[in-house]
Amino acid sequence: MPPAAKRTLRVRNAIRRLRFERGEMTQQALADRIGVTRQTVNAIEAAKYSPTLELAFKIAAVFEKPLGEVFHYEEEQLDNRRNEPAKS
Amino acid sequence: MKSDQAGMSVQEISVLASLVSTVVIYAIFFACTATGAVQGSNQIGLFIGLVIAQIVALVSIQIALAISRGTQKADERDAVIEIRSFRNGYIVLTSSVSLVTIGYLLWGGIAGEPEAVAAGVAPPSVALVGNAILLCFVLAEIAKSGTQLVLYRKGAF
Repeated sequence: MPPAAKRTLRVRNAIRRLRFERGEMTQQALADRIGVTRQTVNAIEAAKYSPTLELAFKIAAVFEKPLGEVFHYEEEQLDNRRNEPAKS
Repeated sequence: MKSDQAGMSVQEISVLASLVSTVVIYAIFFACTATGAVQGSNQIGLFIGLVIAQIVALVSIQIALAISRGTQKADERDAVIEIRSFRNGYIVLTSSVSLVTIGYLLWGGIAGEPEAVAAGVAPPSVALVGNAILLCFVLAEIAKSGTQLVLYRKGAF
């Protein structure tokens, strides 16, 4: 019997799409508006860093969108053997 | 959409410079003391000289960064990464100091035995213990900086 797939919860976001919808706003421009570095914006977009609630609200305010439209919490199933997303 | 390459932030470059300078400086120091090239009170002079050289190097790098990249204030991600790295550095420090302490007590105990005295086994010297404690702090600093670099690259979840 194959081992059960490991489930993790990750915070995902639509920041990159929203930036492009706002006249191709650059990461630096967004970073300047919310008070962080461009590298932090990049890390948030790549889901390598979860922002604090305050920063998440600031990001949502820049795009004039509700928080739930910018960030979402999704379950990701990982293949237990190789720690990669499970193939459906 | 292509993924953006963020490059290294000013803080990340500073951490990398600190790590490299620490490894180089203390590799030189421990090589000189372990091989006996520098002995006695000259070790203190070498240590002070190397620390000053490291400070000068790091300040120069900070000035160069400020000129080329401008000032970049540390943000919340930098703070989170720093907190997590301090934890790893603390674990390395306490573990290594504990090992040095236990080693010192064991060595000193064994050296006090009549058989050991007869065989010429000497207790650990103050210089040896001092250098061992210094090595503990250096390893902790390397663990802290290394953790920061890994978290900057891999992610701070």
